[in-house]
Amino acid sequence: MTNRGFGWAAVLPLVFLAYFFVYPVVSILIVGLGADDRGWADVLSRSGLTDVAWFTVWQAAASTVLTLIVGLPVAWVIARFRFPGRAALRAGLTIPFVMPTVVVGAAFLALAGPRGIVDLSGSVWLILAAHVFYNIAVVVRVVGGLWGSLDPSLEDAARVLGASRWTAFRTVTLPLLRPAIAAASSIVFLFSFTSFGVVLLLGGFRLRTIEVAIWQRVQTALDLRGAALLAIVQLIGVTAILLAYSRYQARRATRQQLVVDAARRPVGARQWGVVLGIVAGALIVEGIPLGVLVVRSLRTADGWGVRWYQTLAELDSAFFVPPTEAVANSLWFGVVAMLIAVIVGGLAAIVIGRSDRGAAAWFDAVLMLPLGTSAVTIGFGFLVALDEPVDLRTSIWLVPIAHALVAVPFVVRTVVPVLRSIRHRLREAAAVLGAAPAAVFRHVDLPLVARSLLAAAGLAFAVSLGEFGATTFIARPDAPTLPIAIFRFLGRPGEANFGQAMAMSTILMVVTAVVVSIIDRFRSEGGDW
Amino acid sequence: MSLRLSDIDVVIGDNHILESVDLDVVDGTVVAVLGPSGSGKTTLLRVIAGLQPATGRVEWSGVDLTGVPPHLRGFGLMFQDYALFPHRSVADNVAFGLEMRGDDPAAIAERVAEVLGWVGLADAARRRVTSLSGGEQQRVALARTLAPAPKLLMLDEPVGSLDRSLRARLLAELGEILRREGITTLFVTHDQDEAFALADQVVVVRDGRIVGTGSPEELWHAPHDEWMARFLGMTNIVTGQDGQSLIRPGAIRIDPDGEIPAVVGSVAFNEGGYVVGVRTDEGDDLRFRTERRPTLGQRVMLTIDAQGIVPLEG
Repeated sequence: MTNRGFGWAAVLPLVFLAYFFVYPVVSILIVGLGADDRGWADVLSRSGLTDVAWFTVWQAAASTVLTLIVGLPVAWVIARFRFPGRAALRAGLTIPFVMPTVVVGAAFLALAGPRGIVDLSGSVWLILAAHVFYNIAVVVRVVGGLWGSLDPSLEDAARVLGASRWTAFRTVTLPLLRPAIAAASSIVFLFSFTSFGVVLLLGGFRLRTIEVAIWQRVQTALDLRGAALLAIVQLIGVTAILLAYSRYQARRATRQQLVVDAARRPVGARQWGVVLGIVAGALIVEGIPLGVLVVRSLRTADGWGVRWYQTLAELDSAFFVPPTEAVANSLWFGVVAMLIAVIVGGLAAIVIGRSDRGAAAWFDAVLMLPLGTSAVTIGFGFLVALDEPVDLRTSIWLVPIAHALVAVPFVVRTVVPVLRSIRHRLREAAAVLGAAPAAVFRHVDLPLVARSLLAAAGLAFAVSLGEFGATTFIARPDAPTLPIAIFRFLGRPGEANFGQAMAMSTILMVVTAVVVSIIDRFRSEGGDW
Repeated sequence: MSLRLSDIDVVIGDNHILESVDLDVVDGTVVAVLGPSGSGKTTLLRVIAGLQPATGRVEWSGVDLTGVPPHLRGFGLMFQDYALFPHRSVADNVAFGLEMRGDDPAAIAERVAEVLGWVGLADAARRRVTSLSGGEQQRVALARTLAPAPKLLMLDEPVGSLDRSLRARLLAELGEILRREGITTLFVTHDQDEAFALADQVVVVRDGRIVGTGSPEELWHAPHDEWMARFLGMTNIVTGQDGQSLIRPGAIRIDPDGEIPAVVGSVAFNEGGYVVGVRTDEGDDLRFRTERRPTLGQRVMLTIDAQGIVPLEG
């Protein structure tokens, strides 16, 4: 009786997904695989596929290894030790993770671009550093989450049985953590594999991921067939990574959580030194790029000041509108995308959360697809598909719809675990006390998921604010979003453009950080993003 | 104004959870459903509440309730795990059923205060239910179930998840409320002491079937068969030529002039005396109380009073 009356809720999400996701992806397949006088191999080799694919894979692998090296000690410290500011550090580490790619790109340009403190421009190290900066949070959340729940007496038992500290870690803790490390590695690899904004800004035109190559095929060569074939290669790669991830994820789910929080205070000066050293290291790695960004936004040719911020309000020759209008656009798109994502994702969550696991599983999987598919593919798909039956490509609604599509999986992932955690017994108790099914939903389900729904809304808003990959394909020239405006500033020469890019990135960073810290207050323990 | 179940069957998968259950609960009485865990007791309550589909008839005062959803039955059910709403305060939990009925706020406030008074939690009205102890949660759950004055009160292991000393106290309080308010009650338990302490009628279930019904006295004096005797805590069962018999512990004593030889196998100090376990030369194990401590392994002679022997049905 659990899903009676809630099947109707599946209709809107399915229609939304069919029209704005399946249809565009199928269109890409048709464009890419359709008949043409040129063969696939020819088109792909002219797109430089071999080099691009090789670079995409090895930089993703290198990013993953580097992220683990930097992230695991941080995960260990947060999972195992109690120290002042621990909760703040854990929450703060999510901020880089949700920063818009363009902001991160701008920050690393400020740090080590042509106008940076040191000039590493065009070096692959800059890209790898940015990926590490992004993904430390993934390792801390995924691995640290499991680590913190492992019973420390397991390691103690090994020590008492004669294992050294290192042997105990290697033979007891590491095997238990392996599924989480594998899951975190797949996520980091996936994010680095599909990295777009960061590579576009930091890679010059020499270093390209498949994602960037798709964009270039469309934007500079107008080669839709080549772009479509690259997108298909990308889809295959992403699917393979996701399959690997879901295998680890399934194995991870079978692990039993042993304790709630086993952290202890560090003992002795040496341990305090190690803990505080790692904390300081994490703060430096995550804090310096963003700090430099703010500093650069305030530095003008004649000293410190807010001139770059002031000039944002002036009509600019390269824009059809004053750049501040990008702020208004982003906020307005964000609100619309948030509403769409919450309605579509909320309905989907009801279906998934209140129906039997078997029946809901496929629906759940289908809804996660946009998360795995790259944003560039989504934007490109909109471009090739949505001229028929209704030409939506110039519609102002297209941008918030694309953002909502990217945000829906986050909404579902935030709400479903909370909905699932509601014991069915509570609904039965309400029914026995005289509540009709609608009243049960209103008085039991809704109040209990309200917080997670608010968190999901904030998350959708943040996703929309920072979305870049899809937006580059569909934003109208007269209606740029903040990331698009920043990208345009960065693409033009001169001190003033760079300063304005820094100022705008700082604004976007602050707005995102504020939104994310508000979400963090609403997020309940059940959510798993 | 009474509940009647006839020929209730519940089959889930290959499991026959309830089988041909007939049951009557007379207005104003307290009926205990007593059975070991897994015997289908909770399912029985869920069938009556309308939460579990079943074949057979559930009637209230002659009206068939088949097809009537739980929220329209007007019965109260207190869940074993209480199922308190974590997002509502103590008072708001208790008020829920009254709100669903559409009572006006003044009447709700008055009734909530009254019922919380019954369970001794008048001061806790504004507290969060997540901050309560187990015993307090039990009282809130009881108050929430009582507040709408259900036609029939059903309690699933009402004190089952509490520790022993708390259990006895809450059971006494519960009995007092039920008698004073004259509430028709059906409660399930696996503990015969609870059933005997609270109920006018006890219904014993085993593997989804009713195997015995009677007042606590009737069941105690004439347990139906060996299984029920053992389940009710009577362990002195011997097999003779004319079938099985139950021997009351009070009927056994150590007596040098006795005719039954036995060996002392266990001695435990208990409430000022000793609980002694012996094995007779016939091979029967018996337990009884003595005032003086026998020695382990000691050979003793026993006497058994004839009126303490209850024949059991095969």
